[in-house]
Amino acid sequence: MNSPATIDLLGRLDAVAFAADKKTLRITFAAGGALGRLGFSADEATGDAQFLIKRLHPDDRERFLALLQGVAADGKERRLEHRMVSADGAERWFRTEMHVAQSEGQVLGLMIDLTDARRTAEALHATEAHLRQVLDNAPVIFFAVDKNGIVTLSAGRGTRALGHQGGQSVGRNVFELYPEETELHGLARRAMAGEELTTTNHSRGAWWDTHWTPLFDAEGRPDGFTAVSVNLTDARVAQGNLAHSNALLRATLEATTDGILVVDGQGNVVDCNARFGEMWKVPPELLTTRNDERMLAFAITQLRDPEGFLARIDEIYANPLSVTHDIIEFLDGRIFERDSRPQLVDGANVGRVWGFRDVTAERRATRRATFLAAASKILAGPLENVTPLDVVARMTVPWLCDWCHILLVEEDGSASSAAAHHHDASKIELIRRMRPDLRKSDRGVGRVIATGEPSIANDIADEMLGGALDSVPVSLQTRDQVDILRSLGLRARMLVPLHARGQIIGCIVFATANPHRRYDQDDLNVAMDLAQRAGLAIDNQRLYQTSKQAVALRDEFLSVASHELRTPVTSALIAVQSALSVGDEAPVSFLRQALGSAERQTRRLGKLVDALLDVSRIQAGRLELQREPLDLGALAREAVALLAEDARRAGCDVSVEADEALVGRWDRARMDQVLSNLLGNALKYGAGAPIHVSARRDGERARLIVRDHGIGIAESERERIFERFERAVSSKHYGGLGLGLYIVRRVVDAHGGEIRCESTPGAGATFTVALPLQ
Amino acid sequence: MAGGVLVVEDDEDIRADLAAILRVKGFAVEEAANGKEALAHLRDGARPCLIVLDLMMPVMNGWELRTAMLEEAALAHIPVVVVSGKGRIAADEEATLAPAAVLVKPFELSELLELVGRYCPRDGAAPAGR
Repeated sequence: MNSPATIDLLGRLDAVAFAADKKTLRITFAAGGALGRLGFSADEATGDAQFLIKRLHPDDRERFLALLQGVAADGKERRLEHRMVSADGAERWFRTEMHVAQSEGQVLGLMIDLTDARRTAEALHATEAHLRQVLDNAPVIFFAVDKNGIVTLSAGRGTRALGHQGGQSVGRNVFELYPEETELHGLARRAMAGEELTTTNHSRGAWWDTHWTPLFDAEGRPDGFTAVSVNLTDARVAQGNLAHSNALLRATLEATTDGILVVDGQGNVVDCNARFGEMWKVPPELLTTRNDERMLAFAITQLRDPEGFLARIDEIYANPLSVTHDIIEFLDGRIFERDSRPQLVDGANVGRVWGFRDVTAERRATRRATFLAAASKILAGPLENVTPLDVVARMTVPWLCDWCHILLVEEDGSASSAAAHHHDASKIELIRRMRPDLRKSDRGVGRVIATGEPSIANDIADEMLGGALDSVPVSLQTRDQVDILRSLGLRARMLVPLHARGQIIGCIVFATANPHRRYDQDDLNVAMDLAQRAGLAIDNQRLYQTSKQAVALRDEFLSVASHELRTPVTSALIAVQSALSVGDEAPVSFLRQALGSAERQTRRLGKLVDALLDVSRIQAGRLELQREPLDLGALAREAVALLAEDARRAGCDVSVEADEALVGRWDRARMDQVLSNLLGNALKYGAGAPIHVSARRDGERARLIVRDHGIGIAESERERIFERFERAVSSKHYGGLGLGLYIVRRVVDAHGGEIRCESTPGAGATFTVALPLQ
Repeated sequence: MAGGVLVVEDDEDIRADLAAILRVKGFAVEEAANGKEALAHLRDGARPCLIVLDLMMPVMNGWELRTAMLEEAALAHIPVVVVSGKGRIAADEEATLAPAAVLVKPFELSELLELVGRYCPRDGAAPAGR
């Protein structure tokens, strides 16, 4: 062993070979390359082989010596790992094997330096632990399974979800480990068969994305697999939340009654709801282009003020962060509120959101209420030099119509133009020329007047007014009038009946040439409301006129009555004072004249008072007749005889022509009143010309005629003179209460008869009374 | 030479009564039943000392007669007592009528007699007053 060749050989080994005496246990020989590692030379070891024992780590020395002793004692081979201390004091690990040499009674040992291998193993171990830690903390499950289905590795934080720490499943059969996961079993078998897979499945309350990688042995045969599963649950939840938010946003967008449009910074339509398309009437094919510019070009054609609209948009885009709120008016009358604001994402301006709300109904309701309130106020107030109908016609233009024409039904059944207005004043005269034929009760104004039903017509085209007069849907009288309507550009109209005095007195036409304007029930309601208020105003104005006339009539009557009463009183007073002022020597003729006057004037006063009382009775409906058999001829003769003195004074010859026994059942006093009033008028207005009275039978009737040749009565007055307080003559020329003929007619009416008046002004008048004999 | 009193009145009783009492009181009296008769009389040359003029009359009323008189220089100066049956007459109407006096019906006979006495001489032929 001590040969130089052996020592040289041993010196090349990374080990130390030694020999110890079996009996003494002393190290007798030590050599080997590893000595150098311990900082010793081969010479040192040869000189003092015992140094090996000295270089043993103090903690391991006893174990080493015990092992040596054991080997020496029984000759069995033993080994141990222990530390040595090198020359510089560092520890080195060795594995030492000892056995007894068969020939020389020595214990031979071989110490192999493990230090580097151990360090490598430790580093490997540390790396593996680190990897393990990384794996265990990764949000994954990592499985390695061999070809028999045995788990060789299980790691990853995800394994906690499986209910055990990763390491616990190692060594177990993967199919037995999770017997319920039949879906996974199938996938595992496919991976074991060599298939690479990526799968997503739901298991144990979570979503997993798994990549299966088959393993192969050197010969390329399947040799198990690895599976890496990533828990997708959080991502899925986040994705789900996002989808939910989007769905909610979409539902909200579509549920709102506002039209919403989102445009990005490049002028592309990012989004809009269906309502937006509806409100702006954007065709679906245009909507799908998502081109903001084209959609804008389409939209502005509908606007009342397209230039203003575009200018406003420029202004808004010039101030990218502005939030604006304004109003858009459409040609068809619709009104939108527009809200515009920047779309900010994390503070960055990425576009603009436009909101449109149709406020037509509420705006119109407000306008209507304001308009009607104003109309009421004007119509209820005093109307100077203007009729309620003029007010209506003017007020409705232009906000309700382009022109308004009010037609009234005349007594003869024709229509007259009572008021007209057009926003273009030059067209008012054209409108006034249009007159419906009210006999055409199946269409237009004629129908409204006939039925009292209002009507609306929209979308009227020129062609509709182009046919023959009988075929056009309007009731105008002539083709020319229809042409006027056409020239005015009629596109829509409303016809509303006008009521006053409890009946239909006319029709109001509201018309427009605006092709976008369509009248609806709301418009009709306004028109009807207005017509009703106009009707009330007409009634009120009529009542006002009537009451004004009544007051004027009353004043006139009081004036006339006071004159009428003063005259006989004055006359009687003068007569009486005359008689009293003369002495006893006054001639009898003078006294007779005075007393005669006094008597006549007093009677006249009595008649005036009777007449006033009669009027009261008639007004109160208390004109009672006391009928008795009465000979009208005899009564006429008596009346003429009684008025002989008056006739003389008036210078009129009165002749009577009467049938014998013209007997009926009449009230004597009232018929006497009729005769004396008619004769009195004949004398008063007879201008001293002859008067003729006749009372004759005419079939079942008696006919009484009083004819004078005086001043006569104008035709326009012939009906009026029978009214209370009315007279055909000036009160500056003729006295009288204006009650005589009124009383006559009422008495004749009460007897079931009738009276009429014929006259030639300047040539006299004839009053004819017809009375039933039975 | 001035004539008598001209009574212009359509009511025959009043006219006759006034004429009678004026005559009894010693005045000369002429009568007209309306303005037209009176105007004709005046244009015939009559120059009454006073005209007692009722306003409301047929044919030609008091206003019309007065207007015609005032337009004729020869007649404009004749004093006129206006008799109103309609109460007091308005100021503008009075300015148009330019009357010497206004009597409102019913008036006192003594008032009329006093006025007539102021403008007209009594002929003294039949002084029948007290």
